[in-house]
Amino acid sequence: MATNDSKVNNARVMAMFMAIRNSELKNVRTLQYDSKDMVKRITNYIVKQADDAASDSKEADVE
Amino acid sequence: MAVKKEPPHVFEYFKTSEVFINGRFKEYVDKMWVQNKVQESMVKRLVDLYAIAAVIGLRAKRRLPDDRVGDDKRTIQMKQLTDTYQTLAPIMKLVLMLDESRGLNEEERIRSAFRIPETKEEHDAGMELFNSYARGGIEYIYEMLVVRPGSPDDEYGDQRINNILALLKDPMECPEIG
Amino acid sequence: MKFESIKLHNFMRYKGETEIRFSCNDDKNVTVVLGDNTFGKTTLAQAFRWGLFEELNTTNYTKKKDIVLLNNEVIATMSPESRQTVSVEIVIRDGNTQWKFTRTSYFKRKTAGDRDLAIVQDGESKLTMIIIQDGIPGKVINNNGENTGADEKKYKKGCVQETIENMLPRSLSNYFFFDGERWGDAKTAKSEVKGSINTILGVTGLIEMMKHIKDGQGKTVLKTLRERIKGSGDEYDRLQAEIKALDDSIDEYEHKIKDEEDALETSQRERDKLAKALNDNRQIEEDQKKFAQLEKDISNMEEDRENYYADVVKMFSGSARFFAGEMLPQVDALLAKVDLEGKDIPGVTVDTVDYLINLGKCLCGEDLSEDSEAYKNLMQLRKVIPPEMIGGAAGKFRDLLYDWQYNAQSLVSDIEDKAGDFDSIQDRIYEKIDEKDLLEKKMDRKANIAALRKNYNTWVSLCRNHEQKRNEYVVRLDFAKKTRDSKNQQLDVLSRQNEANESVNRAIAYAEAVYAMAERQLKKKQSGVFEQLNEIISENFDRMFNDGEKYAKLEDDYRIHVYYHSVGGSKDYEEQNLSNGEATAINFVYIVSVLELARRKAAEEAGAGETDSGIINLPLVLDGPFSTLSNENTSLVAKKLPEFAEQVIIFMLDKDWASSGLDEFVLPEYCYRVNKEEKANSSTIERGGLE
Repeated sequence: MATNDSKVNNARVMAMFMAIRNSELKNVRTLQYDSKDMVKRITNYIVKQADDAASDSKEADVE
Repeated sequence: MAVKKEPPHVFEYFKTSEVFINGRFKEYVDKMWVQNKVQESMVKRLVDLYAIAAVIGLRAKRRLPDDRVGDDKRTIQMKQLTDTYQTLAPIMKLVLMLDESRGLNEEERIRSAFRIPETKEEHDAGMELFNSYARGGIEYIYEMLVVRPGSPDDEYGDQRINNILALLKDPMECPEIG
Repeated sequence: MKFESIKLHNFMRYKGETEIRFSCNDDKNVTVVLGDNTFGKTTLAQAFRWGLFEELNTTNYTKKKDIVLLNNEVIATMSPESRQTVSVEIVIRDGNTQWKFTRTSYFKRKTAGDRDLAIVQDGESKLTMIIIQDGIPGKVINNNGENTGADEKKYKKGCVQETIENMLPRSLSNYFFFDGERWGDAKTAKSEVKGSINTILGVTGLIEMMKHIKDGQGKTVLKTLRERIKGSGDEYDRLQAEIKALDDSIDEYEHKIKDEEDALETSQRERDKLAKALNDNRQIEEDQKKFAQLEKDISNMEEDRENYYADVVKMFSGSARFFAGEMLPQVDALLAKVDLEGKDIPGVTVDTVDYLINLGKCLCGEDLSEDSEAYKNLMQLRKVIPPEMIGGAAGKFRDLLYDWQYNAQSLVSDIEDKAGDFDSIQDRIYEKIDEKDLLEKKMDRKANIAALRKNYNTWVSLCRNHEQKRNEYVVRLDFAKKTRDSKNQQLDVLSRQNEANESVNRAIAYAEAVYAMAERQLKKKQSGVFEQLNEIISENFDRMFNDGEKYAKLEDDYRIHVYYHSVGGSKDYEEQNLSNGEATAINFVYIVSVLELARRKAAEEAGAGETDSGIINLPLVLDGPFSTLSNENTSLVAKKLPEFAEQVIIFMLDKDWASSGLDEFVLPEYCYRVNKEEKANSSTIERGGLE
């Protein structure tokens, strides 16, 4: 089992960073969501992305 | 043998009683002299004004009767008169010499000036003559120092001073003899 | 972000509907409204301000509390029961999204009386927003929070206003609503300016992100994730509890730090205000000394003047002799007419006669009793012989008068000299009085410097206290964070031992990585911002002022300070007293520099392959900005604006238009003119103002 020692995919990190930041910028102007909502949304997004990343690498491993 | 006679009894001018300034003359005087307040006055002492007024009255040929309305008056004290005797006495002589209202001839006038009054009547008459000129003088001076509004010839900033100078330079009518 | 249009309804001098559309063209991005003073240009700026922030500014003509929003002609037609509305609608566009903001106020007559035209606002103002995405309008969103359905939670009370604030930060409104005539109220706090610059540079997005992921108070992504970790064992639980306690402390410290920083900023502001007042008052201390001296001088001179007068009085008091002496000619004339020589009988004097009288018998033997004829004759004789003869006395008298005349000859000139002295000193007194009055006007005699100084010292020590406390908390916060982070690491080690946590741990890793990226980005953006901005400011200042002796620098208070190069190695000296024109120009330098920085940063990031770096491009709305600038500076500044601002909306006088050189940036349909009929109360706007 892979020790989860911050093995992150840099490209994915970059993509996540851009996505979250864009969402923040938009929210700053429209104030659609308050802080609590933003935290929730970002959390869910990161978790999903992390899981996707894991299954990608598993596939990669398999390949 | 005749007993040594004392010189005749004398009633010297300015040595017997105070001088009073009454009625409207008091009003005039009050505008020109405030006791102890030099900045509001034009003469230092009332007796100074008195002396000046007598001469001015004589020069301007103005004699005025007394104006005894009510009890309000200003008093020139004996002490003041005594202190100023050396000025008042000669002025009295001047008055007696130059006054023409008594119907005296020139020699009589001159003599009257150099006599010491021997009777009370003479003394009183002389004092009244002097005072009537003084009153006239007070009125004249009042007109010059207080009423006078100033003229383009006035040289200085302070109007009181200007009026004093105007009075000093005023030719006034001089009594002519002959 | 650009303004698309503004629509006024019965707003101040614009009766009925008045609409202006603004140029959103990328190159010709200037919209201009021309018109003479008092015609209504400033009202347009007020419309922006009121529409966006429900704020008004005091103008040259009216204090803000006295401003009546509703058009006067409309007021005049109002019956006692009628209700009229004033509204301003502003449409803003950013890419494919438009926002339509509408603010409405209702007015009714104050009293039922016929002649009283006073009006009063009826109820609260209303603010709504409609978001139009790709041309499709959404629902009307109300600022009072009364939004039904799913919107209710999202769009709470104040949501519309906050949206406006985020797009067009109120703190920056003094920068992008540049009111040339009212400049000088630089009350913006340093933190607001700094925050505003962050906003402009698009750094806010990063900061928000970092806040949500890790730094925020309350719930964060990392906190949420960590809470999902299943722990096992006492050690695990213990660590978790400790971490929770630390998180609470961290929150507390962060709050306290913010409080202290706010208090510190307030104290600094007060302290600086007082420092300025004291500086002004240093002059007053000296002025007060000077004033007291003048009063003393005047008093002394008045005393001298009174003494001169007293001297005159004294001299005049002795003038009886002067007047009498002048009568000498009359006396001489009189004496000449009379023979006063008397009888000069050799050897016979008054003593002789007195002796004979005493004896009672005359030389010739006649009896000299009092009633005798002989006695009378002898008495008459007595009067005319020496020394009684009047000639002598008269002679003495006229000699006396002569002496009087002689001694008094300088009386008049002496008095005139005194009068001259009196006048000279009176003149000097007047001069001094004038000087004193001028000085008095200059200083506020009520200024109590001791109290000012005491106040100042109080604020100084307050600043120190707040700073100390803040630093203390920062240290503690730092320690708490480090402790927490290390405990988190311990927790991570433990948690990895539980496979169930794998997913969460992965998410945590990504979250940390994203955070780190954001942090790096932030550092990159912020690093050198201050220096870069300073560079730009310096350049622009030199260009505008062209004054080799002075230079400008942005200091820690985020304000521009102007200095003189030192002469002879001493410390550079700060120019405290800028003229109105100079202060205006400096603030232009600031705005233009900030905008230029934003542009440069955007170019940098675009060059580095970044799209949408979040840099805000603010539209500029300028009201009479050039009124205090010289023609040369007007042209310098004006040309830069379209270059650095995304959109420029400008109200100005014809004469400033000529020197602005902006015509190459304006499309003819975006040039307006404000008109006012001579007798009319209201103004109108028409297109094509450039003829």
